[in-house]
Formats: sequence, structure tokens, C-alpha cells
Amino acid sequence: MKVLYFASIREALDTDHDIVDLTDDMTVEAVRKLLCAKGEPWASVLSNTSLLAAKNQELVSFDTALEANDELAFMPPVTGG
Amino acid sequence: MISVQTEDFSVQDLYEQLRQKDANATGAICTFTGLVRDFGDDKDLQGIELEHYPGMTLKSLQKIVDEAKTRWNIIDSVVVHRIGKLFVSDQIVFVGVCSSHRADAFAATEFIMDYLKTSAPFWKKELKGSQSTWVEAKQSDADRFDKWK
Repeated sequence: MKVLYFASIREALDTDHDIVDLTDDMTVEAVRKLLCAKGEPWASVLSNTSLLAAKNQELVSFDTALEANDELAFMPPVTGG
Repeated sequence: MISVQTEDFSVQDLYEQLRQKDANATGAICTFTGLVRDFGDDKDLQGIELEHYPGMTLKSLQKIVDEAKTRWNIIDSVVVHRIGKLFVSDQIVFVGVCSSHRADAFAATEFIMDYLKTSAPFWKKELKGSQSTWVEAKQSDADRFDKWK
């Protein structure tokens, strides 16, 4: 599954996406932890409590379940308008 | 109508679009325009860069407009949000609502803006000389949206 990054998160990780192997019953939080386990900078960047997650282009809570063909994105709090 | 675009927009043109919707029933049109301002102390802000999550931006704005339509009696609405590089005093965003009565038009316009500020996936970066800094989300924006919950 592809995980997209935006804005300051993308810059801090120096990449606009990662690929993760999704196992059964994985939640957004499980994917976050998996990426944090890669070490720095993921561990710091993705541990920020203000981190937002979107599944299939809709904001979701971190306990949301994922399927293999979902699109997941991690992003900082929005600043549009 | 919802649009995410790099090009500037004409408030007059968007107002005319609203005016043509159900002309007999429309009694009130409310519009809001957001502009780039120099909010730093050092006054050397050159501009901003607006990033967005393509696909999600349109979905998110549509969801916001749909929510406004369930809460108030709206005939139609227009939301335009620009992306890319903008300079101080450039137009960033337009929200317009037409309705039979002003209460619905005022409230829906404010709601759409407050909701957009906390949930639409756009991110601003300040450009100052050779440096650029991401703008931080404001607690005041989250507080403003809380009042609509």
C-alpha cells in the first residue's frame, strides 16, 4: 500500500510517499507505528500528536481499518483559506 | 460550483454566477474573499506557496458545501480556492452563497470558511528571501469551527 506525505511532513521525510506491506486487520495507527519503526526521521515526524490521516481522500481517525487498495495519506494540520 | 485553480478569479464574475441561480427566489447573496496579507513583524514577506492534496481538495470542499446545504436553506454556492505561488494582497479564496434570506446566506458563508480552514487539505508556506517556512495551523481556527459543532 502506498502512503502519501504532504507539506512539512513530505519535506521532513524527504519523500512524497512510502510503500508498506499491509497485513490483515491493519489500522491507520498500525501503519504509522510500522513507519516509525524505520527510525529517524519517521519516528519523530510521525509521532507528532497533531498528525492527520486521510483514507481514500477523507480525514479519518487513527483506529480506522485499512484494505490493500486504500489510499492513505499523512499530513500536518491544514492551513488553507 | 467548486474550483481549485492557480488562476486568479473575478469576484464580480462569481457574484454574477450566483445572481443567475433561480433569480426569482434569490433574495440574498453573501460573499467572502480571502487575501494574502503580510502577517510577519519583519515585513519582508514576498508571498506564499499553496500546496494541496489533488483529488481530496475537491472532495473536501464538496463535503463542506453539502453540509452547509443540510443546515441552511441555500439556493446555490460557489467556492474557489487558488493554489501555487501567490503574492501579498493576491486573492486566495472566494466563498459565495445565494439564498432567499440573509440569515441563511450569512451563516452558510461563514460556516463554509470556518470548516474549510480546519479540514480542506491546503498548506501555506511563507516565502521570505531565500527562506521558506510552513505556516502553523491556528488554535483560533479550530475554536471558531468548534462553535458550529
